[in-house]
Amino acid sequence: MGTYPLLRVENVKKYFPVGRALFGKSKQYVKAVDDVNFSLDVGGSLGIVGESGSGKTTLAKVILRLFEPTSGKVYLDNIDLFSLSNKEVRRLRPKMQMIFQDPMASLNPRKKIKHIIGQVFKIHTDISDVEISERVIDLLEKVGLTPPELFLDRYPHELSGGQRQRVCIARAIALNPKLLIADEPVSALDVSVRGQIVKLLLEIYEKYKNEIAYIVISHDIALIKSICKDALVMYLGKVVEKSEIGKIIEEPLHPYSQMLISSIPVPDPEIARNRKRIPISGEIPSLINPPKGCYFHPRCPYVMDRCREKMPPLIEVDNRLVSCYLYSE
Amino acid sequence: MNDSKILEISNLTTYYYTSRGIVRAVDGVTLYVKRGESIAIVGESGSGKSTLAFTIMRLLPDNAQIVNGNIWLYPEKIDLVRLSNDEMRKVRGRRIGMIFQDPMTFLNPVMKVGDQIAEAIMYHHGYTKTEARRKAVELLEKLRIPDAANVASRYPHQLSGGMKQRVIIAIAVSCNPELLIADEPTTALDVTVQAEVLELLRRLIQELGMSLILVTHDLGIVAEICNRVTIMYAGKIVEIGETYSLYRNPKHPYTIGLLNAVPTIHKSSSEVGGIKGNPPDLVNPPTGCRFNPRCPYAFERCIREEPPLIEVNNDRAVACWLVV
Amino acid sequence: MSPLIFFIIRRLIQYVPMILVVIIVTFLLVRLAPGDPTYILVGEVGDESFVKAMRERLGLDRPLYDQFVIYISNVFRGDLGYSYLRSEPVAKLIVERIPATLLLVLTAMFISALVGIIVGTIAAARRGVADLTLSTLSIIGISIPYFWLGQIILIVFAVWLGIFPLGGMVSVGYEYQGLEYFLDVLYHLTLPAMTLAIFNIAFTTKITRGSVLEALTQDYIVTARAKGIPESRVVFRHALRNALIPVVTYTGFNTGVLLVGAILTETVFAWPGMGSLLYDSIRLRDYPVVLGIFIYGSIIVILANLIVDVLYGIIDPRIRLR
Repeated sequence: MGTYPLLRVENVKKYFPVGRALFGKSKQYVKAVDDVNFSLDVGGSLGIVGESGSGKTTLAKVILRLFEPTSGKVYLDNIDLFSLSNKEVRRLRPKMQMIFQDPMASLNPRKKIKHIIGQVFKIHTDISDVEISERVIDLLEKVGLTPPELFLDRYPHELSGGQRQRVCIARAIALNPKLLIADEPVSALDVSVRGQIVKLLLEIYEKYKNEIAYIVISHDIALIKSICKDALVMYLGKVVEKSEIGKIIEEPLHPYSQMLISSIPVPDPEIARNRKRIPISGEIPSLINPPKGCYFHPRCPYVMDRCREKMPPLIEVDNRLVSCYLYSE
Repeated sequence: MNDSKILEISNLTTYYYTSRGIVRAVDGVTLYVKRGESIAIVGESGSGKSTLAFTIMRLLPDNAQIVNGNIWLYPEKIDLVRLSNDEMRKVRGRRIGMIFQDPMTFLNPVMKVGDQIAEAIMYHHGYTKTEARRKAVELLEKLRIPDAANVASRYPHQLSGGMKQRVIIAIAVSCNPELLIADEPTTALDVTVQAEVLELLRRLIQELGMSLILVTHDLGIVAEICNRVTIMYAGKIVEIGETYSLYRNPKHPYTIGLLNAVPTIHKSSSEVGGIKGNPPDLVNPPTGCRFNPRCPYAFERCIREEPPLIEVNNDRAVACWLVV
Repeated sequence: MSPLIFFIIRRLIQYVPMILVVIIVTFLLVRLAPGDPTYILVGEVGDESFVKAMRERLGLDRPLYDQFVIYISNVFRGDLGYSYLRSEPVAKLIVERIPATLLLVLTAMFISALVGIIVGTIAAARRGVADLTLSTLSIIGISIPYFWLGQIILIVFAVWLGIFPLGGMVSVGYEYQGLEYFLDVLYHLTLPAMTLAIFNIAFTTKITRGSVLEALTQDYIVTARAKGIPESRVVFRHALRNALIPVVTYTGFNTGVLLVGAILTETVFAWPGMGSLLYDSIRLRDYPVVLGIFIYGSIIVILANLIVDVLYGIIDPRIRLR
């Protein structure tokens, strides 16, 4: 194992132009991801938490070069991903995989399960057809689609939502990825099925711990908590807090994290009705025209004058990172 | 809270007639709602919880039909199932209001939101358009919407998701109904907005003394605002109970599984369980107890015979052979 | 400047190249048609030199592109040329006849939109026998050609029943004024407007029905019904308003079809509009008049589309004009 982190994300930005202009460049940008930094070791697992418009999915897609970055650097296993040609990215694709929210949309509806998974081997390896089908069977077993023979010849629409998500996971781990990003992996599933998939993701993580880094993206902190060690809270394209997930839940530092944690419905009436609540005001502002200073200040109960002036930098407090003037001297 | 009922549902059965066959979406549901109480109907997609809500409002699609049962509205004990369309129209909006899931699609895109709120007031209270519009603005103010007059003159697409959902709530409560039915009222919203909307709902039903039927898949939001919980599975009620006791001591294996299936911030990941298998196809539901193929405790009787919903103590009823 | 005016001006500028294309295409199409106006003017008896002189006078001896350049530059100076046959400026000939055509087309359009929308909405809201009947009638309406329908209507109402005049726009020999004139025109207008409208009624009905049916499946209809308002209000206020965009699109798009229909209808009913002028001019290869009418016709169609665009913004607040 190398001495460097498996994944390094440095000053990554993704701006989308808005408004159309016939001539010249558009003057306005949506800063979907604005200057994100983090690194992840082998065996690391990071949750990215945020609500709609936080840029969490965009960030994942930029890291995987599914979107072209505006600026910044991403190193996977010391390879500078943003400097690769599209062809080189394609060759590297099996090593960095993503699991999406809607499994139906990410599976080819006209192909059988064995072809969907087998295709990965066909494209990226030169193993024989016999070996491919062995590997596919092995993968189906790994993701709990047993007996595999029952699923090989089925089409995606013949499976339930949970089973489809299992197929997606099987395909993602087919060629031992180094980086696995799951974007809202259970949101589209039935409640009773969610637990199964969470369990599976955990199993996979345990099994590949020595070679993989995990990123889970969700609006649901509880889901992140059940899979990840660390978490990053994003608000309007910016990281507002990063630390161990337990600490964020127990003692969130950033007022937005506090608001988010106290908003989560708890399926326990005793806790739900007796916990302290952060008063919530307003809604997430538009990314096209974000507020001046700290993006959160219009909703923040502790807002000070300087919050309205300048975006607070991400500073270290007790081994945690937070972007809030409450914690700077 | 007095103990008089506001709504009583007896043996209600609603089927959908589809090309694949008859879908038994709601199959013999019996339930009552007390005045001033908030009751939750919890289930997954396909459990029949939304169909139940739409059956009470008699707003079913053309291919669905109420096959059997009664829905009595108190104090007169009128049976909504047997009302004429015109009579039912007078119940909708005025005596039972409904809140819908998706604020993006449930508001008319080409009508100002103030007019959409004013409509019911005009029809049920005979107000003129100007009076009703004024009432609509007052209502928005009551929902603590800043700059209510301005909001009333906007179109839905000019409002945020949370604001639109508040407009939907305003429409539902515009005529002071005694009963409010909320179908997944916060599912389409962000977490922080959801918390706000829930808070608003809680305050509203308290201030206006309304009863609430909350239809949801989210046990979290139920714990926040409901007194009683009904768990539905595959068109049937499997357990009903008072919220605190049901969460602390769930009796039906499905309820137990459901409570464990969702990760929460207060649980360690090893506690997350889940239920094996998938919800059944309601065209061909399993024989006996509909949960038996997924139940870890299923035995021979469960496959053979359907368990009735039996009261186990004062405030709890369970449909399971284990409990009998 | 208000955004609406800005929008209209922008659109008008965008239309200039379109009109140019229309001129080019019609210029070529007219010339490609067999027949030569010289012979029609000269008749059977003229000798070669007379024909040659006539061709020179009309400019028909020059190469086609020369003729085109001359024509285009004249058009942009507002000069549509002289009619070969009537020795009058084309513009004057056309402008005199535009009001009659517009009256006929707009009346037909109004009737068909009104009737089509109401009937289509009712058909959508009440499925079953009413819907089936109305749908069948609309299919029949769509399949009948104008000229045949016009003649049938003429025979039935004017010849057999005698309750409407045989043709023309006013009664000959009476110098009606004011209200009397208006009623007289209305009396003459009824049959041709009816003929022209029937096809459109049928089509508008069909489109409205489909569009309203679609709107009735939307979620906001459930919200409206949950309010307990009458079903008629649900259908007309909530569903219809949302269903209008395709209907308006069709109506605007159809202006061109109506203009063509007007030519046939005007000929059948001797209605003194552009249609009968065009019919005569094509028959006699009066190129300048034919071209002029095409240009005016396309301007009318373009204006109709502009009105449709503006209506979009009024019907649906989500559509921003730009």
